[in-house]
Amino acid sequence: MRFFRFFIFFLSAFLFSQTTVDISGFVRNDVNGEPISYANVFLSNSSIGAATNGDGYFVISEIPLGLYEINVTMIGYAVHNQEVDLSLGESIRLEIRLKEEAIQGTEVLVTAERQKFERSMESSQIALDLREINSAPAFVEPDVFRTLQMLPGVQTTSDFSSALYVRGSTPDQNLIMLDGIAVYNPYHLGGIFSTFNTDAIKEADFHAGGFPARYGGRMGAILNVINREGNTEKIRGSANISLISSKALIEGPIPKWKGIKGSWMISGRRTYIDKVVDALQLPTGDKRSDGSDVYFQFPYFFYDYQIKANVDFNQDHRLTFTRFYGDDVLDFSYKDPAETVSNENVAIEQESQFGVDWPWGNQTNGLTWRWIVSPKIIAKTFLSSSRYRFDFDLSFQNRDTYTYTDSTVTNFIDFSWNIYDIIKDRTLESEIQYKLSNDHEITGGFQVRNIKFDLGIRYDIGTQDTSFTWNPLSLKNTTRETSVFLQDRWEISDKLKVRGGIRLTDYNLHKQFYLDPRLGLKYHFSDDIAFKANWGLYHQFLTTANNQDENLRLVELWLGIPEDKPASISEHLIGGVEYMSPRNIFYRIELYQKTFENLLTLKQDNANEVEGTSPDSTINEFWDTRGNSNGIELLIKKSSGKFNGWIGYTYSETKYYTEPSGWHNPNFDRTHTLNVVASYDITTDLELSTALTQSSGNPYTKILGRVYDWEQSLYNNSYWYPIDSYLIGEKNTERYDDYFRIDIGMTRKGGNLFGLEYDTYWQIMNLTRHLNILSYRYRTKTDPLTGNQLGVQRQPVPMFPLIFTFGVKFEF
Amino acid sequence: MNFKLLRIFLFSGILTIFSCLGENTWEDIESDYDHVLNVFGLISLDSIQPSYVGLYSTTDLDEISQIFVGVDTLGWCDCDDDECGWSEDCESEQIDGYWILDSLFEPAALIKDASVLISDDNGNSHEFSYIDYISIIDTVYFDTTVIIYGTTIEWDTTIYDTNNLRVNLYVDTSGSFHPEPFTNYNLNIVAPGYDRVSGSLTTPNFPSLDSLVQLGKNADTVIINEPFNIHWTSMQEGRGMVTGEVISGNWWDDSLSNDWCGGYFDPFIIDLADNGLNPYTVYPWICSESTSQETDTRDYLIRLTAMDENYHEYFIVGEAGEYSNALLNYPTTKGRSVGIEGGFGFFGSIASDRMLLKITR
Repeated sequence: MRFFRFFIFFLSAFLFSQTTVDISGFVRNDVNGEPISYANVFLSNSSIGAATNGDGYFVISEIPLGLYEINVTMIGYAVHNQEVDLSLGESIRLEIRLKEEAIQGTEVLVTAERQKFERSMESSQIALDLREINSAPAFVEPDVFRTLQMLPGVQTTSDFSSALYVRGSTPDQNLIMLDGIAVYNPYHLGGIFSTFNTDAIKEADFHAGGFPARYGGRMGAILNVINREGNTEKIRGSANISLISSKALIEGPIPKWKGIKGSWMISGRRTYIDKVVDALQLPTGDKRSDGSDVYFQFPYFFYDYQIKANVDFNQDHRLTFTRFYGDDVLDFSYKDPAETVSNENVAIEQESQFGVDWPWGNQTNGLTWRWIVSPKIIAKTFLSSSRYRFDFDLSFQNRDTYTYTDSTVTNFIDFSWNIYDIIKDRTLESEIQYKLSNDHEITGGFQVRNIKFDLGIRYDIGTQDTSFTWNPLSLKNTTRETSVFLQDRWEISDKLKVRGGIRLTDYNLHKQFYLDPRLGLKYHFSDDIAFKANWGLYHQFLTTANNQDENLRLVELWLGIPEDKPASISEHLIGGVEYMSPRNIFYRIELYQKTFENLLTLKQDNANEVEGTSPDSTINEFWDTRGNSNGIELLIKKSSGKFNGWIGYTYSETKYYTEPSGWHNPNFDRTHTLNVVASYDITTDLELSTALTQSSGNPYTKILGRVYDWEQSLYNNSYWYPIDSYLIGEKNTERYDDYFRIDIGMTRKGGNLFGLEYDTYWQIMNLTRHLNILSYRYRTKTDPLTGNQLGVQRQPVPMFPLIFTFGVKFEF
Repeated sequence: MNFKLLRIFLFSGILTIFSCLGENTWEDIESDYDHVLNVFGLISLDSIQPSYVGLYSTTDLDEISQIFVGVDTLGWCDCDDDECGWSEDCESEQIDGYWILDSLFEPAALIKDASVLISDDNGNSHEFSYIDYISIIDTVYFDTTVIIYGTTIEWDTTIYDTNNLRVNLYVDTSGSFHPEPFTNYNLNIVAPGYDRVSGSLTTPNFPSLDSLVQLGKNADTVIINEPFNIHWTSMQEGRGMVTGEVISGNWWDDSLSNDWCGGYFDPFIIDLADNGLNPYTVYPWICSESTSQETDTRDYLIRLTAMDENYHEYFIVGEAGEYSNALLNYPTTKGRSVGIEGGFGFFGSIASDRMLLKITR
C-alpha cells in the first residue's frame, strides 16, 4: 500500500509539476465574431507560435514559464498584442478579437497565404475565402464551383456545367461537403449553378488529390464548403437581386443566458423567372374553351435555404446545427379544353391532360458537438443526414364520357411514367485531434456511413376496367461503410515534416476490409521554398450511372457498388515544389499520377437507334473500366493587395479503358488549360475583375462515313430494312476547337438608396464572342432540284454566347 | 429617384439585348478511309421467304448517298375530292385533277456488278444474280358501265397495272437453291474495287410450335387480356424468337392497327434446347377498349423463328452502344461484321413455324 502511494505521488509529480504550459484559444473577428482561420499567433521575440485552424482555434504547447507578450497578426486586421503571465505554471485559454483594418499592402508580412504555405502538409490543397470566390466574374452570380473550375487540375465539359472533373476523376468521385455533410448532386438547373449560396460561405477547402486519411470513401477530390457561423454581436443582413434570382441572408447572436451564447445564420435564394413570366401574362395565341387566352408559363424554378446555429454551452462545449434544403422544380401541365361531340343518341365529352412533375434536390441536416477536452485535445462528434432526390413523373390522363339518354359510360386511361433515384445518407462520425507535442499532432476517429439507394422506373396504367403497375427497374440496396482512421503529423525537424495515416473500411456488401494507407512529406528547403510529396490509396464504394458521352449532365443517378463488383480504387502520387515570395506571391508546381481500377462505365444504348434490340440499354449494366491520369500543374497566386488573383496552367492526359472502346481519352480531358483570374481595386469603391480561360478542346468521336445497319421484322411478313448509320472512328480521337473565354466584371460599392447601402455589379461573359463548341449536330444535304441526298454537313452547338448580367446587393 | 442606378439598369438592358452568338454556320465535312463492302446475306429456310444478298459499300461523308432514279405514279387525284381540292391549280379551276407521283431513290452505295456465290459443304454452288426490281401485275376492275339515252354501254373495264417493285438484291434466279437445315453454307463476294468478302453459317433446324394453352386448355381461339402458354418441341440446340400478330386481312388495318386492340405481346427469345422454359407464359399487353370494335374476332398468327448463331448475334445481342450523341440524327456504329470477313454486315439464317389461330375479346 505504501508503495502504491509512492507510485501515485511520483506519477502526479511527473504529470502535473510542469515546467512548461500551453496557450490556447480562439481568434475571432471583432465585428461579427466569425472565427479567423490561418491567423498567426506567436510569442514576441521568439520562434514559438502557431496558426489558427478552420475553427479559429490555436494551441501553443510547451512554453517555458514566464511573462510573455503574445502577438496575433492577420492580413486585413490590426496587429493584436497582449501580455500573458505564464509564471504561475497554468495553461491559459484566450479569446482574441482582431479589429478590421484597411489592407496595408506589403506592410503585413505574414499573410494567411504564408500561414497555409507553412502549415499545410497536403499537396494540391487550396482554401478559397469569400473574397477569392467572388473575385472571378460569374455567370449571373458568384459560384464557388465556377471559381474552382479556374484552378489547375480542375476541368469541365462545358460552360453549362459546374461539375468538377479533377485530375481524371469524374464528378461522382469527388466528395462535396457542406459543413462536413456529403451532398450528392450539388447543382441547380442541370449544373449551371451550384447549390451553395456564396453569401453564406466562409471558406471552401479544396483538395485536388493526395488528401489525408481523415477523408475517405471517394477517390477524386475533396471539397468542404464551410458556412459562416453567424454574427455573434448584432443582427445583420444582406440581399442580392440578380437577373434570375433573389437571395437574402440574415444573421445574429443568440441571446445570452446563464453563460450560454451563440449565433445563427439563415440564408435563402429563389429564382423568379417563373413568377415574372406569369405576371407578364404573355398570350400564346391559344384559347381556352371559355374563350379566355392561354398564357405562356415558365414551369421551372429552384430555391434553397441554409440554416446554421452555434450554441456555446461553456468554453469547452459547442453544439452546431446546420441544415440545407434545396430543390429544383419542373412542374408543367397542359390540359386540353374539354370537347363535346354529340348526335341524337349520345354526347361524348373528351378531356385529356398531360403533365410533368419533376422535383430534384438535396436536403442535409447536421449536428456537431465540439468538445475541447483539454487545450491539446479536441473531440468532434458529428451526426448527419443527407438526402438526394430525383423524381421524374410524366403523366397522361384521357377521359371520354358517353352520355346516352338513359345511361352514362366513362372510359378513361391514366398513365404515368416515373423514374426516380433517392439516396438517404446517415452518417455518424467522431474525430479526436490530439496535439501530443509541438512535433506530433495525432488525429483519429471513426465513421459509419449508411446509404440507402432506391433507383427505379415505374409505369402505372389505370383504366375503367383494370389497373396495372410495372417496375422494369427497381434497384434498392443499403450500403454501410464503417471506417476507422488514424493519422499523425510529425515534425521530424524544422525542415522535415511527415504525415502518415491509415484508413480501414468495411463495406457491408463485400467480405473484405479495404485498407487505404496515406503518406505525405514536406521538406522546407528554405523559409520560402518547400518540397512536397503525397501518396495514397483511395477506395470508393458508390458510382453513378450516366452516359459517358453526354456533354450535358442534368442529374446523376447514384448506385452503391454492387456485391459482385469490387470497390473502385485509385492510387495518387503527387510531387511538387512551393515557393512563397517575399511579396507573398505563392508559386506551386506539381506533378501527379493517378491510376484507377474497377471503375464502372454505364453500358449505353445507341440513342438514335430506331428499334433497338440490344439488351444493354439498362442503367445498371456496366463496362469494367480502368484508367490513368497524369499531368503537371502550375499555380501562381497573389492573395493580398489591390491587385490579386491567380494564374493556373495544367497539362494533363487522362485515359480510360473499356472493352468496346479500348484506351481512349474521356470526353472531359483537356490537354492544356490556362486560367487567369484577376481582380483590381481601382478605388476603394470600384473593383474590376476578369477571368480568362484558354484550353484544348474536349475530345469527341469522329464520324468517318456512312454504312447500313439492318433491323428486323419477324411477324407475319418477314422483312429486314436498312438503317442509314454513321460509321464512327476510334472513340474520342478528335477534339473540338480550342476553348477560349474571357469574362469581365465590375463592382461599384457604396451606393445609397433611401438610406440603404447597396453595391451594383455587372458582368460580361465571353467578351470576345468566341465560339466554343459543345458538340456538333449533323444533317444530310439535299439537292433541291433532283432530291439527291448529298454529303453530310455539321454545325457547332455553341456554349455560352456573349452574356451580360447585372445585379444589386443590399446590406442592412 | 436615384438616376445613377437607373442609368446602370438602362445600360445593362441595352447590353443584354445586344448579347448574341458568334458566327455559327453549317459546314461540309469530308472523310477519307478505305471503303469496304456492306453486306446483308440471308439464307431462309421458309418457303415464303426467299434467300437473298443485299450488297452495298460504305460511303464517305462528302459522297452522295441517295440518287434519284425516277418516279412512281401512285394515282390520280381528282379536284372534286376533298383530299386533292386544296391544290392551287384545283382551286383556280385550271385543271380537273393531277397525278400523284412519288420520287424513287436508289442508294448510291449499291453494288450491282459483283459476283455473289453461295456454296455448301457438299460442293453445291449457286450464283446469285442482281435484280433491281420485281414486277407485280395488279388487275383492277372498274365499273364503267354508262347509260346514254337509255342505251347501256360497257367498255373493257379491266386494267392491268404493272408495278415494278424495286428490291436491288442478289437472288437465286435459277430456282435451284433450296437450303437445308443443319447445313454449312459459305458466301463469297467479289466486287471490282473492293476487298473480297467471305462468310459462313450453319442453318438452324426447323422449329415446331406444339400448342397454345389458355385457361387450362388448348386454344384455337385466344381471348385477349388473358395470359396463355406457348408450347414448342424442344430441340438439341438453337434459339428462337416468338412473335404474335393480329391479322386484319387488309394492309391498311394491319399497318395502322386501326379498329383493333389486343393480342400484342413483346417478342421473346427462347433457348430451344432448354426445356425448363417450355412452355413460356405470355402476358399480353392489356387492351382497355371495350365497346367500339366492329369486329370481335380476328386471325391471330403465332410464329416461332429459329435462327442461327450469326442471326442471334446480329439482331438479338446487338451492338454495344459505342458512341451516343443525340445531335447526330442517325445511329452510329463502329462497323459490325457478323458471320462475314472482309467487310461490314452479316450473313445469317432463319427457319420458322407458324400457328394460325383466332383471337377474340
